[in-house]
Amino acid sequence: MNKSTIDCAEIDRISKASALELTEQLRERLRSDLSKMDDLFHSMDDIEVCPTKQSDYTDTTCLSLREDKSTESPNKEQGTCYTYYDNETGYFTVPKVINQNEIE
Amino acid sequence: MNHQSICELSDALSSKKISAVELCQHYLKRIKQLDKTYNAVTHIAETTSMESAKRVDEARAKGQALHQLAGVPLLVKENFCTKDMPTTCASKALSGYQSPFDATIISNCRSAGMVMLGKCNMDEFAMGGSNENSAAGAVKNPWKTTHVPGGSSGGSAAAVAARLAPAATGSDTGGSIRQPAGFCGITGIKPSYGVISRYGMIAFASSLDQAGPMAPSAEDCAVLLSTMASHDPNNDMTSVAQKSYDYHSNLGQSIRGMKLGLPKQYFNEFGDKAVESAMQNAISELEKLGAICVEIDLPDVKHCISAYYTIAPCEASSNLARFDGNVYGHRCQSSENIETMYARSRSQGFGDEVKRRIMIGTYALSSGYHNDYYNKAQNIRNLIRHDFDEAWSEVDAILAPTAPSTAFRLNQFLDDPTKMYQQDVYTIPVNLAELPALSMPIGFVNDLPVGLQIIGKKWDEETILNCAHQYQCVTDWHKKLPPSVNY
Repeated sequence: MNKSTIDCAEIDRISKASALELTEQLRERLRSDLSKMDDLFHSMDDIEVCPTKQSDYTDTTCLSLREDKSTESPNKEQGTCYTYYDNETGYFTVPKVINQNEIE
Repeated sequence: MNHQSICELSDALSSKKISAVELCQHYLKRIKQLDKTYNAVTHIAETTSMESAKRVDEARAKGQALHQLAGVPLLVKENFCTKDMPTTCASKALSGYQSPFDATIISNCRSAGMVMLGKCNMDEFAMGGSNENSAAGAVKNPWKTTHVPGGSSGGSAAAVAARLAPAATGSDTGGSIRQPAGFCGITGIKPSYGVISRYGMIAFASSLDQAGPMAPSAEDCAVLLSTMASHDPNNDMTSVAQKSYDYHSNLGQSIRGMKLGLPKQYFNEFGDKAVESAMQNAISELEKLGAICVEIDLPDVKHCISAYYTIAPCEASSNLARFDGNVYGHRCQSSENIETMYARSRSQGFGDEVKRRIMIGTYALSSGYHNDYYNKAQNIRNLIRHDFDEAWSEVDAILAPTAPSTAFRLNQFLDDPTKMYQQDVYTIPVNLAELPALSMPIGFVNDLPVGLQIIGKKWDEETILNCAHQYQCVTDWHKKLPPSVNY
């Protein structure tokens, strides 16, 4: 992986994402600290993780998420598999569980 | 009284040689007299502790059957929620915060009749290894007040070392029970991840955090762990039901024939000769007891610092997002809009080390870096787990240094946090692999205690507690008190 440059603009981007306001002094100090941490992160580059030892983290935790965009409602053919799907209106209907006449 | 173990105090209470009120008064007096020097205690619960002690004495007078720990005082680390004391995590961000509920570990101890004396100082949000990152000020090591007590449970360790309480709770994300226990000459155990409920323990890095007891001896820790541990499925999905919660009954077992692993990565390249000599003496003592020590290989533990300091800040960045001044904690006086209110409140509330770790975590989780950093670190974590799994086919437990040196001087590493992070090199692998490990005192170098870790198989706290107990039956390092507090 390419080593990134930790400059003041990058610190500003990270502090905004972290919801932190930094003083000029702390900003400069964190720039230096983060550069050192970046070296630490890059020390992982050379570590070989053979396939048998792959983490199951991605499989179990990062499930594939569906794309975040609107899609059309299920068509009538798809709807037939749902018990309460009304093919005429395209809506689900909830059956009455109490007969209204009995209440009256 | 300061030399008595928890079991001895328990016997004295049950035989009415001493009352719970007298015991409570004794420790409250010590806190008031001695803690001005150490700054280990942030809150003294004078009224409520005396009330609890009185209730125990009344129940005992009526002949009610009481728990072994009824009437035994306890100090609580600041990151455990307590409904009758403030819970600040030693941060301005949670200044004045009082939880409406008790953490499960606290309610377990209260149910046993333990008396909560107060809260202990710590590194802010448990981030640090020296207890210098605290809004309540730095804690000083009772053995040498020019030196740190370790961290993040430095207040708990210093308080127990100075016998301001017979025991304290700690939490361990990367060594925060074991390193301060080692620096202060007491015993502390981090159980396997899942033994003690994390409910009500304010999260730092959720996949690594685990609570545990800190006390003078392994036997004390075993009794405390038996009370603190529980299955808590309604509140904490990471708590796991154990076959037994009795860690004390089997402590008398001989360790003859027990195989102890000595990782060559730790013992062949250890820098501090005086500390190494103390460890060799402890190993010889264990061998005299019949243990068989063999060299083992943990080839990937050398990568632990980079993996840990990726995973932990990432989880911290996410966990600490909730402290925005909106629901609880510190809120800034003025702001232009809600976004500046969040940012300003957080910036005023958090100390520099917490800000640094949030920034590191946010950076590592940033778009484009997540796969390279966080996922890679999780893979390395798996390598380290795999190393330990391989080792368990050869040995019953593993010995390791607790820290590269004895306690260091106050301010020694404040200028370079990455050097401070290197101090965790021997404790971090245990958290990454979710294993149990304890630190026990094994000697002194320049009047400062030296700790040795015993690491166990997952869910096998009994073996390491028994091993430490057997060692402590033939040595007295755990009974030593700092000269200034020995009265």
